[in-house]
This record gives sequence, structure tokens and C-alpha cells, in this order.
Amino acid sequence: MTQRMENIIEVHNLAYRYPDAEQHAALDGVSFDVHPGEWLAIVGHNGSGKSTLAKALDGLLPFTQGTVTVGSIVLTPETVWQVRAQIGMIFQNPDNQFVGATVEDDVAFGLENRQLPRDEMRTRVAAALERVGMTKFANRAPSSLSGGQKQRVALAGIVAMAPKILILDEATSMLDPQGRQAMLALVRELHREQHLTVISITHDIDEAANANRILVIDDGHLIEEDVPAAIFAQGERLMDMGLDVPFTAKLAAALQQRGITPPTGYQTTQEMEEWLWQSLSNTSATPTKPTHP
Amino acid sequence: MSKFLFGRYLPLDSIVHRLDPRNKLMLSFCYIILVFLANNWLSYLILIALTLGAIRASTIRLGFFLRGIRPLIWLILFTVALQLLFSPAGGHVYWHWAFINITQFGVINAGYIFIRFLLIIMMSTLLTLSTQPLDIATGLASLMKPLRWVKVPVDTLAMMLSIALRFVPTLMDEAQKIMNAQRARGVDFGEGGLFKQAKALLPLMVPLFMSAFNRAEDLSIAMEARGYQDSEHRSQYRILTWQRRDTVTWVIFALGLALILICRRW
Repeated sequence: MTQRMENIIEVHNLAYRYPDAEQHAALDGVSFDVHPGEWLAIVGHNGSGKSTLAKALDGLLPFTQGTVTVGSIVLTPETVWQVRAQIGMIFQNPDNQFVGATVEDDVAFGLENRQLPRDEMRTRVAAALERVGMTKFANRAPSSLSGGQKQRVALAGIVAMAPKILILDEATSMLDPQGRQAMLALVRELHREQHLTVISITHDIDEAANANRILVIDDGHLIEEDVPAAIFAQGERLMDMGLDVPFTAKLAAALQQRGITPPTGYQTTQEMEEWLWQSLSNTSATPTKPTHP
Repeated sequence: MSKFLFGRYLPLDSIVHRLDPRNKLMLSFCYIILVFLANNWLSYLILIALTLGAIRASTIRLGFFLRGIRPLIWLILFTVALQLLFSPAGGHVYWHWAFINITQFGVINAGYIFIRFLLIIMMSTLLTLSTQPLDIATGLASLMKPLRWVKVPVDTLAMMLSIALRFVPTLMDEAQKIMNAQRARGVDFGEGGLFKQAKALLPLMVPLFMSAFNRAEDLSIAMEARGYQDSEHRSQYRILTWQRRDTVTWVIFALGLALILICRRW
């Protein structure tokens, strides 16, 4: 990325070692910047250090080396609450991050911590639940909700707090495909409407395909940083790192095996579709093939 | 486990349901004192009228209360039998054999005990059936507030209580899942002798504890990420309000107390 912008997050030479694994670093010399309003995806296989990175950004892990700057505040034990006030995080397990006894209590939890007056909490909670479409469920207990609904409540908690940055730490990995789609659509809307900076840590490659930029982490090292098209173009290498490739790349590979050569480089679903239509209509001179879709 | 009535909540919309939970907790507590103050048939009649009135106002069917009594019936009968058979001599002796006396005194005492048990169970069942566990927790936390003066960490206790209650159904589900998973691997729960049964619980307890630890870890991280620093510096979303109907219940209670004190045999 060549454009110059004020960075909202700057990470410099970050390293972390878990106390019980002394010879192995979970993060080792990671440096990157995040631009305001950007959607950044961080991918990597299990145990590559993605979640450790997410926790380090929020000050939840005392990293051993390096600096993290969030919105021009350098993360130190003194500033950690200022940094956290700018970041909303959604974690993987919908059950384990549900603090409140009911949906509205959970949405209000973060606001209570900020000691907001009750009247303002009520309006904010109601608005946040409305935003994620959970108003009907305001008085329900978490045990009566589905995984996707619980994550939407977690998102409502973030909406109510209105942070500048949203970190999704594998927030959709325990959801069914519908729940995942609904959740991501909601986050995309928020990203667009409120100029939210989204950092999505995931190993769902199709989720990463919608990002502005992808960071690839392997074994605690940042090994690649580029736009999705450029990252996915190196299909083989992704597989070597234990990552999946997007559906269109799989389709391209399968076509290649059958002697059909798709254009080189990564294609979005739409580009792939267009190319398929074009090549089909070029060869459809024979009367048996339909010429119109 | 679903047959368990204790601690269940019946979502109805009656005047009793809408009462302030703090009020209900205090009333139940004072009611128990009232039950022990009563000591003749007239005062018990007043108590029974009060209790049935409260049950009527809650619109909950009487059947639920009888079911609440059922698990305790053996305890009640046992205590009543002890009172009946081993009372010291007093009044007219109806029957005498070795060290067993059935006396007038014993019969009356056994009757009192029976009614006391019944009334207390009915009222506490009414409390749990008409109040959500969450409201009971909020009410308890609010009632504990004066303990702050003696340095009891009331807010932390309230937070713990609310989290514990929120995780009860989650952990129940989890326990059920682990049990089924272990059954599928060939563990027999509730079979064999005492030692064997206790041993079979191990593959349930260990994973359950481990998972509770993991949950606690995840939850504490999520709470910190959402700005939770300590329990004292927080505002409150859920606030209980004392309403006129709460005052009215105390007027009724005071009337009952006065009547019982009048009828009481000193």
C-alpha cells in the first residue's frame, strides 16, 4: 500500500512468548500498520499466532518486545484502558463471552463499565439491539439463543460502545454457514456506515477475500501483506502454509486439470462468472447449446 | 432434572410477579419469623389465610405448590412422627408403650410442625415460582448493600452471583453432552455399587471442571476487553423500583402480624 494516511494502529517489532513454551515464540518481530476505515484480514493456520496478535493489540497479553500504538496512544500498562476504549473485540466462543444474564444486560455490560448514566444506557442498548435485529430477544436468556444470535448480541454490545476499531477474533468460526453470512453482512454494513476499522482474524478464506488487505501469519512471523487478489494468486504457496484457497481458485485448478485454461491470477466470483459466460458463448456456435442464459 | 421444581420460574403476569424482588425476599424472611410466632390454632388460621391469599394473587395453580412439597414429604413425615412418638408427657396420654408416648401435647406439637413445614415450603415455592432467578440475585445484591460498611465486597459478590446464575443452564447442557459422549464410549452412569457409581462420575467431573476453567478464562478476557476493571466503579443498568403495591404488601403483613400477636397464647 503506497497511499499515505494517518495510521490508526501501528505495530512495531512485536514479540511474545507464552510462559509455558519458552523456546517457541508465539509472535516474533511482527510489524504492520492499519489505516482508518480499512478492513484488514489476518489469516494463518491454527497456532500461527493470530489470536495472540489480536490479544496483544488490545493489551490483553503483556508482549515481551515491541510497541503497539492505537489512535496515537502508545500501549503501556498505564494507557491500556484508553486503548481498550477504542477497540471492540468479539471472540470465538459465543457462550463464553456472554456476561449478562439476559440479552439487554449483556449489551449494557460495557456501558456499565464506563459508568454511563442509566437513561443513556437504555437508549443506547435499545438502538444497538435494533441495529442488529435482536430487539424481540431483549429479555431472553443466553441459553435460549442460537450461536449466531449470541454473536449478534456480542456485536450489539460493540455497537452500543461505538469504538473506532472492531477486532473479530475468529468470531464466525463456531457458527453455521447462515449465521456466519448474517454476521458478516452486519459487520460489513457497520464498516460502511460508521467508518469502522475492522481487523478480522480468521481462517475462513472466503471471509478474507472481502478484505481490503490481507496479512498472512505463519509460525509467529508476518510473511505476506497484500491485497486479496495478489495473495490468492499464489495458490500453491497458500496450500503449503496449510491455508485454504478461495472457491474460484479451486474451480480454476479443476478446470486446468480438464484441459481448460482460465486466465492467470486471482478472480473474484463475479470475474470468474463473466469469464465462463464469455468463453461459453464464444464456443457455442453449435446449435445444441443455448446462446442466452 | 427438569422435574425439579425448586428454583424454577413460572412466567405469569400477576401482581405477585410484579412485586419488587427485594420486597419479596424480605417478606419471605419475615414470614418465616411470623410462622414461628404463631402458637395456637387461631393464629395458624390467620397464617393459612395469608398464604392462600398470596397464592391466589399469584394466579399460580395450587398443584404446583403440592409438587413443591412432594420431594420433602419424607422429611416432613419423619419429623412429624418423631414429634408424635417421643414427646414428653404432657396433657392427656392416649397411648403408652415402652418409651413411646402419644400424648395430647405430642399430637398438638406434631400438628404445628406439619403446618409450619407446609407454610414455609409453600411461601418459598411462591417466591421462586414468581421471581426470576436474575431478579432474586439483583434483589439479594441490593439487600446486601449495608454490608459494605463492614467491608464486604458486595458488588463483586453480586457480579459473581449473576455470572453463576447465567452459567447454570450452560453448564447443565454441557454436563448432559459430556454424559452422553461418555455413554457413547461405554461409561455406565448410575449403575453398580456405590464405589462403581462414584468412579463412573470421574469421566464426567474432570472434563466439566476443565471446561469450566476454560470458560472462566475466556469470559475474563472478554470482560476485560469490554472495559471491566472492578465491580465498584460501574453504573447499574438494572434498577429495582419500590412501588405502591410493595408498600401495600407490608400493610397486609403488618395487619397479619398484629392479628397473630393478639391471638398468640403467651
